[in-house]
Amino acid sequence: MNLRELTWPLRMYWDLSGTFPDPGLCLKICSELVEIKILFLYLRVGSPAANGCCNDILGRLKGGNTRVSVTVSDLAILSSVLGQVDRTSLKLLLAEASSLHDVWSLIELAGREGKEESPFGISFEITQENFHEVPDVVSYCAENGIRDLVFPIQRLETGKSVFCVSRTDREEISRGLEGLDYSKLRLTIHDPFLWKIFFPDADYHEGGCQAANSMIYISPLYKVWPCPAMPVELGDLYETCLKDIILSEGKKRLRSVLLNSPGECAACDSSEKCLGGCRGRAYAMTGSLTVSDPACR
Amino acid sequence: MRAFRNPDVLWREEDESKAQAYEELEKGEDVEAIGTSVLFSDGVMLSLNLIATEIWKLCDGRDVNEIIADLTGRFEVDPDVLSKDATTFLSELKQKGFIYYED
Repeated sequence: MNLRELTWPLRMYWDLSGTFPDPGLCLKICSELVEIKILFLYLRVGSPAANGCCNDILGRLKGGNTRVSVTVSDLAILSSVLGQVDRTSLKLLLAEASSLHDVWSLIELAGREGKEESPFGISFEITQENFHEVPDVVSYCAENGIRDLVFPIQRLETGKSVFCVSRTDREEISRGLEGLDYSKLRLTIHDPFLWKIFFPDADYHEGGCQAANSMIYISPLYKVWPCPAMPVELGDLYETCLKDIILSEGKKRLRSVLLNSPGECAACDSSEKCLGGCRGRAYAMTGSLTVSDPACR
Repeated sequence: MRAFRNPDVLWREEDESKAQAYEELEKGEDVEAIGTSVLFSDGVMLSLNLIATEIWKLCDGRDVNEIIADLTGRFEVDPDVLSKDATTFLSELKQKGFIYYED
């Protein structure tokens, strides 16, 4: 059925800033979020100073139809959130880890909470430094009561180095996963090529780049991007309301570009479903929205 | 067997598309290809047309016959075709884990 292109996104990624907390603007955005019926809100709290905004948002959305997950960036914030936030409006709490050592620390903290199942999941951003730890992280989470393990969408910026898991890296991870039982883990994997390692026999469910379609992103500076991994500014929430940004001609033009597979994918059997992989990563690495994801090569 | 929506499935009706579908229906046009709602669960997104959306909304504890009876009263469709289509659609929803049955 022809609802491939949505008027309003289903999922919103929102990184809250501690440097620029703006409770008034946050609540205004929340009202719009309810109005346009966002189904999932993924909040990322990058500093203790952003906790106040996080609580305000959770309070505003409590009892509504939007399911909220919160990712916190360090142990101090995690402890604070575990103690302060009204958990009834929170679907999922995730703690960020960037190494196996971080995962150990978090699991130890979860153990101190005295629960059989951890009260929070792990968000593990894969980098050049830690990609080889992925099988150990999966194994350790599976064995220690962590139910949710997320490999989050990278926050990419043009001009900065971008890491993507190469074919060789993926083979290494794949070998490391052999024989592991992670069936009880609820995995969320945004990178289509990484996803394929875990689910080699299934088609990637996203069905092409969803930037500015089913997803939208609000940066810590209240800029609206199509996706955390696509550093293309669609609008500034200090100047334009969220609804107008989503309905803008700029957003429509972007979607018309993303709906076409890059020319270099023409001969590929997967191009109809994949539509060029992560187009944000391709843009961040090459400056072009019409080239394929370099991770494919 | 009574059909229930899986509470883990998040969904919403798409107001603009729904209005468009009813407009086309008034004109006697085929609205099968117009998606009027989206369902989302575990990363899987389903788009449903007008009739499928109404079936989904009726999965609130009714059995298949009650669902079909409700729709036959509201839409000009052949009851036999509707019954066959609705049964197939409900099986797909069940298989995907979007609904469950209880006695």
